[in-house]
Amino acid sequence: MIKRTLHVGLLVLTLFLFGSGDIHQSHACAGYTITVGSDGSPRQELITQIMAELIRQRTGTKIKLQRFDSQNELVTAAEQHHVDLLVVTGGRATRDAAAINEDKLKLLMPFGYQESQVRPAFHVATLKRFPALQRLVNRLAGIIDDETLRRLEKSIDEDGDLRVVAKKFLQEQKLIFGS
Amino acid sequence: MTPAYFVNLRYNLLFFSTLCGILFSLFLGAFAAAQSPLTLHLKNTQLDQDSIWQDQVLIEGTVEVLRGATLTILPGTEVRFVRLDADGDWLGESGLMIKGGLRAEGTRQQPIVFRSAEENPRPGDWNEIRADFSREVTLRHCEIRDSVAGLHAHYTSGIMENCHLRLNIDGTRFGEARFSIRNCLIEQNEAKGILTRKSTLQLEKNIFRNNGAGLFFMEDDRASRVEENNFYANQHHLRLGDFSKAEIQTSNNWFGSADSQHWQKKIYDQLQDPDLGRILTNPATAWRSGAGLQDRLFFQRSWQLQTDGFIDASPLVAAETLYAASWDGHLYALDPQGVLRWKKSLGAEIDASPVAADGRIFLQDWQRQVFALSEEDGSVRWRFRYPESPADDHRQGALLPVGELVLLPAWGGTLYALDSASGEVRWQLTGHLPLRAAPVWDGEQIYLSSGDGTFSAIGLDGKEVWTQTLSAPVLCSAAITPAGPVVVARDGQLSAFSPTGKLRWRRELAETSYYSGPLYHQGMIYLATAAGQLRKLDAVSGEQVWQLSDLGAFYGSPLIVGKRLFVGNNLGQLYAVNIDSAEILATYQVGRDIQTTPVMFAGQLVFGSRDGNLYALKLVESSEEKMEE
Repeated sequence: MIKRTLHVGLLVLTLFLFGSGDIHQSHACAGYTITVGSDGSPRQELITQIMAELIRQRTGTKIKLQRFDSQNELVTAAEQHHVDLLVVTGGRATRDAAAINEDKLKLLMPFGYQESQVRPAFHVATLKRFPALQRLVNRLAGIIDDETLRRLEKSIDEDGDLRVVAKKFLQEQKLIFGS
Repeated sequence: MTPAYFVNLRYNLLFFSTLCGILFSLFLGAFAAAQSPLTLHLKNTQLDQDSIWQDQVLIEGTVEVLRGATLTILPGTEVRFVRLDADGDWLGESGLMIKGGLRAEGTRQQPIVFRSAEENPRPGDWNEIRADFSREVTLRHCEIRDSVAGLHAHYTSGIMENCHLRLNIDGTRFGEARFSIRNCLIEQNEAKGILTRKSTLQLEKNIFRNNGAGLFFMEDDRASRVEENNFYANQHHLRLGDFSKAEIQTSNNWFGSADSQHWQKKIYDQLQDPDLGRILTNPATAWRSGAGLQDRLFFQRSWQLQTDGFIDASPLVAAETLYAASWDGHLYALDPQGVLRWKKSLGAEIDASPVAADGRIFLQDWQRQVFALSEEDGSVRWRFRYPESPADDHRQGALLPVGELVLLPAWGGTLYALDSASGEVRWQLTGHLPLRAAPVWDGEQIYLSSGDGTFSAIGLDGKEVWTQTLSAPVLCSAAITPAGPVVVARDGQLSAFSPTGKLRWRRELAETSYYSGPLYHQGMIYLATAAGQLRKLDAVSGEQVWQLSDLGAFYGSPLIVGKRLFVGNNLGQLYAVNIDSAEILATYQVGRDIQTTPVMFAGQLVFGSRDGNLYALKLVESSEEKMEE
């Protein structure tokens, strides 16, 4: 009888905790929301849109885009796991002078532009939970060279909608579906 | 007069004018309320008590229905969401959050619509109808469009029936939810029609078309039942997400073709990506009838008119008058009640449809006479006669008015361009004997079907631009599509050409097709043949969507009104068919063959029969739904 009461109590407590989650929880998608961060530069805005659209379409995961004021702020937020996925540039991307905390962030293969000094990076805990994401985001490796980037930036000037430009690029690369 | 009097007078006037003003305002208010429904405008709001919405609701932000409260939305309500994008992710944020209950039950005649408030709506303008741990979510006869994720339900049980999910990014998302989704139309959703994760869904009798992925399994959805649905024209009909390792079982669904080579590439699983799980299909071998939004209709006779001959010529509606020609040699002009306005004897059998332009009716008869008649009283404005030929036996083509010309397909193979005002010959093109079908005009060129098996494009100057030879005589008119004409030969060879005469696609139907031509409607071709087959095909690719068989020989072309196709056969049966579901909604039996194309006239469906009668039917909507338990 005591055991049964405990079970019922535990169930009620679980339901209560699920049901009274804070705003962040209640806006998450069935448990999965990947936060993708950018340093606020137009170029990073584009690259994060491309990564977001790729993950959104191929895994069904909800994505939250978060903008920071600088690369430093972004990396700090990522190391604290306020961000799951980000774009790292310069010395951090080349692993120069131990500029990145590899216990916290896992660098992926470079996109291809700026002499390959720009890479995506995941928080290691995110990859531990969703190992398929590494393979997925690595599909972007080497396909965004300087010329491609210039073309995409020109498209943004013409179209104005980052999401549309990102989506079209991924469709051209046959990485997502859509016409 | 004393000053006091003036004071009183001023007071009385002031009082009276104020009273009039108030009454006038009340009258105006009542008038305005009667004229346009009130709009309930809600910003970020929490509803902690049961609420009812009706008419117009505008949401700017998130409206949250708290636990213990139920939101009921009445039939005919339109809920519009203002596009907000505070976080700059290009996705709208307005939405509904249901933690209590949601009952949105429209009707077929009065659906409930959830949509963007933008003038030019796009997928993603608003976020979603989010249901978390909700005790009741019921959506019936709802349309959800322009959203990020349609209905997005977690840990919630519910029902979605007869709903139309379209033009969203994702039509609907389920996470650890239990839902029954039946008789829905899920189309044109940019990414996914329905996304499911660890949910138990019962998906039956739905149509998924023109979505990025029709049904997307995010992760571990083994418990869902996916049966009796139709999938076509999706980039992927079924797709596993990159996280999914599950083995999904589906059965008895139609994937657009009986040929597995054709549809297998649209099932995205470990055959495309070895890291993914598996989808087991066990497909149906034909279109699943009764899927999609349910439709009910029955015919009720409004009036009929007896003539003394077969009525094979399709009736014409012009200037609020119906014109019908009979083999008895008369043209009849009727009002919407079927009362004869006038009747004109022309002397010989008429089996080609009359046409109208500039206040005149043009038609030809079996004595090879062409008439221009006044719409008003049938008086003859001019008459033209063309010579005899060996092909003068039966079935003439209707004339075609184009600008100042009226084009006459003569039995003897000559296409005459007559001056529509005088009947004088402007030019003539000879050589394709016999002509039994009306020419058609795409705004640039005339397309001419001929009994000698040719199909030609002709300029408005009478010069032949190109000619294609088909496998058999062509006895019906072509359908004009945005990509060019589509024509069927007597042996069932269905060909689609570009405006320059290049063959775009061809299907060998291997069945007889006489006078019933293809019909183009919203990207699709509909064809009813003399072999009793009714087909729907994609106008761009020629791929067949569905086919109904053994319906009796069709000699008349179909008519489409809204989502319904009407066509009659040689057994005297007129069918109403829903063009989405392919379901036969109603049948009306008359005495003999129906070879006319029906027309709509003052809300009535009018057609002729070889029993000599012209029939007008009312289309009676039935609210009865036949949802199988």
